[in-house]
Amino acid sequence: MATVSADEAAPESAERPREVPAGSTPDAGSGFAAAAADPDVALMLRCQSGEEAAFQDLFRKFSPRVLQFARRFVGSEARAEEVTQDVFVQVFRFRHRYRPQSRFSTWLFTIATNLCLNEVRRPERHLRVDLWNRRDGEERPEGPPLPDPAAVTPEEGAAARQLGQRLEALVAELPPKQRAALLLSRMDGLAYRDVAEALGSTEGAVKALLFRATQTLKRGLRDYL
Amino acid sequence: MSRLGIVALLTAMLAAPAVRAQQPRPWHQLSPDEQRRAWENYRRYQQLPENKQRSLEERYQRFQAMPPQDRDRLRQNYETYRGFDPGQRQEFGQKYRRWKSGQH
Amino acid sequence: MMRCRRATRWMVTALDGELPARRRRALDGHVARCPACRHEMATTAAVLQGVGGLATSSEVPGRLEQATFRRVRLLAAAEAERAATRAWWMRLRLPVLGFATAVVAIVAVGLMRSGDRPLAPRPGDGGRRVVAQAPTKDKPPLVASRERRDPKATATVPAEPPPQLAAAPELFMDLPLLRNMEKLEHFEAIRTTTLDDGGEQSNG
Repeated sequence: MATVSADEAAPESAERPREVPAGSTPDAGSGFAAAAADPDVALMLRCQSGEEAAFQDLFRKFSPRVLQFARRFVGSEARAEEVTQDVFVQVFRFRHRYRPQSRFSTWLFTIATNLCLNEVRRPERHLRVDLWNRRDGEERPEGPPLPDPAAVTPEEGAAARQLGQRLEALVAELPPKQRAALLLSRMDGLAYRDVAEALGSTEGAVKALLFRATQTLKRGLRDYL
Repeated sequence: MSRLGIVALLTAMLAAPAVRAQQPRPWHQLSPDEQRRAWENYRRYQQLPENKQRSLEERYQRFQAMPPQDRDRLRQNYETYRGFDPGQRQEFGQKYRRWKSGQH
Repeated sequence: MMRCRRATRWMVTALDGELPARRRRALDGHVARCPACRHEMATTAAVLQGVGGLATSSEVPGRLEQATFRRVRLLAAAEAERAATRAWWMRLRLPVLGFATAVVAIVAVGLMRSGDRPLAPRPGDGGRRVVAQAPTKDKPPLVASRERRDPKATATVPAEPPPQLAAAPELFMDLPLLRNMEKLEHFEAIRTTTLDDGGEQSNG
């Protein structure tokens, strides 16, 4: 079950400007300071006090991301919705375990990751390749590496869409933990230590997962590169 | 059937390939609320005659073997059914009896 | 001097801004000198950018929101009920404790005052009466009688479930659904069945 770690060492010097996790600075040890720095923490503290509206606000803010995250692990839209629901029910059920020293999104995606990885282990899940409309055997155009997603010509737009579909399919085929690490670090803006916390792992393991995932994606996109 | 026989039968059912398609969650993975619900229903189940117990076990096996979307559909229907007010439930019961008589 | 293999392993971490400064300088120096790694770095950056461009959120249907809020409300209500039950017991404990203490004190005082005087025997029992008696069959223990007064009281969930329950907990969780399984399987057909004697009926 999702647990929230207490104080962790601050990350080594981060060169890319990432959002500083609440509580990572030495003087942000109290819930009040964390709440002041992070509105999500404030909402969660209100939720702990029994405010239904605070929970609803958290749901509305994060459920789109959780749902999209879940869709990449389960075999049906209905099941993705169920998993999303389960995530937020767990958030409510275990709300008193949340410690404001951690970012709420880290805690939330710890729960989501656990439930999604459990889901992957269920035998009756279907392959998710078909969700992404993979079209095997299609000729892939020669061209510059990775067309600009902001393409304006029809040809560039089609190429970008094709790339997106190919990427979706490759991501869906990644081993579950690599997929989780990639999605958490890339799409949801979590630092490596947050990803490690969500996976119940170490930063070193996260780096290894991301390296392997990226190598797999590069191999799969070789015709585009 | 002895209690040991029931446990063995249930265990065998769960080990069968058809049922392996849906591995139920173990007790310790249920939430406290789910455990309480299961425990209360178990006590009610204990009060039932043996033939009714067997019938429920068979239905459970069938339910577990269903595709996920069919199980989802049944759960959705159950939620709707639970939401009926007494008048709706009574009417549904009458329609059920009418429908059932038309099946034979 | 850095090798290409190590440089490749550091690229993702560097692009995510998580590589320590010293290592980043070493990597940058190697990439500047190595065309293959320069290409690899650009490729890695492009792939990560592409992944970052994939959809990160989905529209949430209204039914999901409503279903979630409903479940949470039920959970909150169940928690409140449990808390109220615990509070009731807590409130009762102190007076009961006080009463029990008073009884013990009275009995103790009575024993002390009786001194060496033996307890008066009950007529007919031959003087073998003892102060504390195990419950006889004419006087069932308190727990049993309490259960008889409130037979529908929910017993505490056991830490170790009986084997039958442990073997298939979801059977018992879904018991109400299973009891109504036929109705649920043919739900729409039943709902559309007409009750008019002259009307057609749906056979699902």
